[in-house]
Amino acid sequence: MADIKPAEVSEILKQQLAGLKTVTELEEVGYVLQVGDGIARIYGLSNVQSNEMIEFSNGMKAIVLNLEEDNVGAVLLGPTDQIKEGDIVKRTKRIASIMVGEQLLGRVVNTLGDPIDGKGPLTGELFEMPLERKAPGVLFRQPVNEPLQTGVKAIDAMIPIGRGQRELIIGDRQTGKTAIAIDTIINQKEFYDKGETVYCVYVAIGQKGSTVANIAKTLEQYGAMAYTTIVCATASDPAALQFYAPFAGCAIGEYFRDTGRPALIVYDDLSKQAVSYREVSLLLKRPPGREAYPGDVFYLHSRLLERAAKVIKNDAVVQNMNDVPPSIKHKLKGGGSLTALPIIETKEGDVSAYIPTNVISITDGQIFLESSLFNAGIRPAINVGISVSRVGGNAQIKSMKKVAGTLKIDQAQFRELEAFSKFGSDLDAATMSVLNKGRRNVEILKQGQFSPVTVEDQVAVIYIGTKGLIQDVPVEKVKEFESEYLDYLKIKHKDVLTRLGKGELADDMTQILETVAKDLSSKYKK
Amino acid sequence: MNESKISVRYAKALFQHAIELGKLEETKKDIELVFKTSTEVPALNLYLLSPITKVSEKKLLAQNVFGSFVGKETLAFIDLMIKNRREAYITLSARNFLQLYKKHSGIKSVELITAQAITEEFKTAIIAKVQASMNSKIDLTQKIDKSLLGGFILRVEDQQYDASVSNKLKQMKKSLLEKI
Repeated sequence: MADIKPAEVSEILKQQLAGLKTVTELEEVGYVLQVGDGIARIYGLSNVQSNEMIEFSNGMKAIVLNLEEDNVGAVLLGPTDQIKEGDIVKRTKRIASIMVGEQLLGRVVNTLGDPIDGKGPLTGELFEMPLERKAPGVLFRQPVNEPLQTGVKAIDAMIPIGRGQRELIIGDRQTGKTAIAIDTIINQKEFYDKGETVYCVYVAIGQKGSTVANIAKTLEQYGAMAYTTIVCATASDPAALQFYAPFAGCAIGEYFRDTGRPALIVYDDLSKQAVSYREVSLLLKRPPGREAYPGDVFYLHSRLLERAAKVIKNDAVVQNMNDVPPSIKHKLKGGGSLTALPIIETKEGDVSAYIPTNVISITDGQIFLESSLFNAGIRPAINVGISVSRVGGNAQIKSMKKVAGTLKIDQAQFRELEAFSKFGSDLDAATMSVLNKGRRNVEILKQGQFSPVTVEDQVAVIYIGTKGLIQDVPVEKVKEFESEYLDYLKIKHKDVLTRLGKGELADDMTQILETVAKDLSSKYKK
Repeated sequence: MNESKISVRYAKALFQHAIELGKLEETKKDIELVFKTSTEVPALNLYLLSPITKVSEKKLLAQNVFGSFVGKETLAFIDLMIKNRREAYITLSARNFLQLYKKHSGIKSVELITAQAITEEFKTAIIAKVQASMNSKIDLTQKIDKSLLGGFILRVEDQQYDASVSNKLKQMKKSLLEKI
């Protein structure tokens, strides 16, 4: 410190000031006619565009949503009480957008892309990505063919998700929707460590600040923040920030997608986003429709989810992709993907409400969580019967496909018979065997929170389950057996597990799995 | 419902009616008065907007307030708006009418905001300059705002030229912060 001379400091300051250019340009302005409830009506701004960002004299931003004959309706991105009637508003001539870059990883930002985690401003190269952007056209896509491993046995085996897919997680409150999403993010650690990072974005919409802080802490704890960005619009933020948050998160995901990398985005949750969009729409006096949602609430979700895509691998084709922001034009690369996991909260399991039906029809399948299963101790509480994945099947690795092929049907049959068996009548041997196998499979599919399982382990466990190799193990001991079995395989037959992970399932491998299962299960025989 | 259409339509109707009667200038003066009164006296709007006052009472109030100052066409216009229960749109319609008038007669509204009072010569010089560049008549309003510190802001319709010292300081602050 002693070396710094005041003269030098003033010299630097002088240089900086000399380099300053204050240009006075013709600006387009309007003034506030009316303001209230997060909405401002503005007179003037006759050339303003829809979705354009405008700026008030105190620096607050707003987004233009309504263009009317003699005024402009805009949603404020800050507290309403700081704007007064008669305030001057300037056009920025910029469509609402956020600055995205690699530095966003590990950070918590708000809808405008400003960090809110107290770790200082973003540094390094940033690229401007628009919030509203058209999804890639048909030419620039390719079918989903790579798996996105969630690390949840029930999902990876029966409702597989592929990279670029949109899989809805739906269920009542307290059924573990967020837990599945967080587990999926944590499971990507494996790929991060291998250097094949799946970049994750978690968008928290209308949640409590404390919940978001908890999630950030959990991700930090499991080393998942290194490849994750959290976009956060808490319940106390203005409605506009809440309904734009998924778009901001999507813009971040698109940055990774368009630069040829796989990304995963979780929207937690879209029902709250729809509610804040309804609030803004009603305040803007747009006509209400069913459940008082505006007519374009379907389009709100469909255009958001359509942006999840698997981009074609051909770099030459990708160069011509539609609606690419100029800032990342030079970085375009094919083969990237954006997988979306939207979350919808239902009331009393009612999936026929407006927003759930909309989002179910938009997505490529849904994971349905039920509170009755949750309370019965089946966690994750996935109702396998009505959960589907419409495209993920092609993305499963071969070994998993072979092993888990019959699992879903087996379990469906088991549930049907289980209902009958409750009458207590005598059951024949065949029925008993279906019931026994089913009960053990249910145990196998149970899994603790924050404990994702690798694919190879999943295949090994599900193999013995579907083959009925653990009939001798009592149901309550299945969990114990499972961990013992996996530990044994890890120590003695590491190569088999590695090969399973690569998708192989040869006879010599199944033989080893079968002998190990038989040897270990004999211990549990009464 | 798109409410902005209401005020635009009433304003257009009044404007065309005034042209047909050849009383555009008088109507404009009347409407200017109505606009000024309704923006400066909030109590008037409160009374007109109140759902418990009767239409006849509202009409009577309009008669008492404006009767001796405005022509009978303007009064009839206000009466019609009250009768159609559109009293909330009187101010907006007046604004739109004035806009139509300016467009019709090629007048541009210009606002000049300075930090200090300016001399008459300076004012005429500015008017001449703006008139020459805009190629139209102008209607100048002047304001003094100490917070500008120096310089001026010139607003023509919804374009603004901000050459104030406070704006320059603001820009300077922004660019200095960006460099860090």
